[in-house]
Amino acid sequence: MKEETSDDHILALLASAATHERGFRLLMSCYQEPLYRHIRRMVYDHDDANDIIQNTFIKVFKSVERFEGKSKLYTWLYRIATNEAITFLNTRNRKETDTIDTIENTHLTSQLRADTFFDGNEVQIKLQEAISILPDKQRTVFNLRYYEEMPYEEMSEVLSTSVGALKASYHHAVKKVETFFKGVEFM
Amino acid sequence: MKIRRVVDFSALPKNQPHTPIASEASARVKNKTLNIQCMKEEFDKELRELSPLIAYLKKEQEGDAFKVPKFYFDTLADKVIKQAKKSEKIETSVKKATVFARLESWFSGLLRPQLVLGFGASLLVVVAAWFILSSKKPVMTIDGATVSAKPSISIEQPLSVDEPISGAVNPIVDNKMPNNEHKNTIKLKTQLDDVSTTLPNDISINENKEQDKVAGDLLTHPESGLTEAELALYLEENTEEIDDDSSDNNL
Repeated sequence: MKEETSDDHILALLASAATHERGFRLLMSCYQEPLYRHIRRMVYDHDDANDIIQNTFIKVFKSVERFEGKSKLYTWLYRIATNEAITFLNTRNRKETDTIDTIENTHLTSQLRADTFFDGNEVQIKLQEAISILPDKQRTVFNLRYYEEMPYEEMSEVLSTSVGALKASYHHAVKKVETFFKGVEFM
Repeated sequence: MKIRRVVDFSALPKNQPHTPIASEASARVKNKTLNIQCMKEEFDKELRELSPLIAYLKKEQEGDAFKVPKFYFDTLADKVIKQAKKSEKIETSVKKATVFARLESWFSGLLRPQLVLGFGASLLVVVAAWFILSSKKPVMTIDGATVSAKPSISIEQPLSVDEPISGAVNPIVDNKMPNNEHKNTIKLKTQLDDVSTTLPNDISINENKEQDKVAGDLLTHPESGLTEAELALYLEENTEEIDDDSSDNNL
């Protein structure tokens, strides 16, 4: 028989020391895949995404007792994952001495083509290139809305930003991606 | 021969759940599906309005281009739990080490030479102050009787015989007082008429009645029949005795 996977049930299991590990495994089985995909779209590389998802869940494991239930469990998880990914990107950007834009785009294209864990066509590679030129905040908003189809209200909880500002960010991001595509010649 | 049972299912209500719990669950699922559909339509509409090109791309590119290694998600939970427990152990040991190190540094800080010297010096000052203060008790004796009193006239200002005095005068005798001052004080007392009859309230007399006998007689029996001359003579004799005592002490 399949175990119930509601947030309440997971939190109830996590609250007791005897069932903590079982609850955590259940939580991971529910959320590991969408969280991994969200992180992967931000950092592109599987190994980096693997490190970040592990750090995210380690943080969750340690601090789940402090989750007050004011927001939904999955928005709380997305919030931790997004913060971890942004911290990772900031650290990586600081380490890199090259200027980001043009060099990073060509680097990303070749990286995605060589990546054995990327199975996309030319349009998808170009779409990822277009997304990669967006500022971090716009990129996160675009990914959450375009791929995850997350409502603005929940996105507001994840990113601690007003719904109006998120709508504006998404609109700007879509326009930028569209402009990028209009200037691209497909081989 | 086989007996075939025929059950008529047409009697059951169609499209209706059999239990109320099942009906609630199915209603919830139905609502959720409807909500998701509504939201999806909303997303598509918004994207179409913003950019028909990007909306078209989204529709065409179904599925995720990012792949993961085989069985990646099957083993991820084990890895995470193992690492989390490991890091918790390390954190606990670091915390213990930090507490121990803090205590050690606190105790070693207490044994710093500056602190030890400071503590020793302050202890010395306290002991010296206690010693000095305890040796300055105002004790006097009148005819062998020990009387402790608060001096209302400072002994630092010796009185002369000729000096007029106003107010009550306490009999103050201090062994450490210089001899001249001592004599002056006693002589002054002899010239006062009411010195034998009244005694200020702040003088307490020792309960030892043998020692206090002389002074006690004078105080408790003012009408003992002694004339002024007899009283003066009596006091003079006693003065000499005190004088002798004090000179003995000074030696």
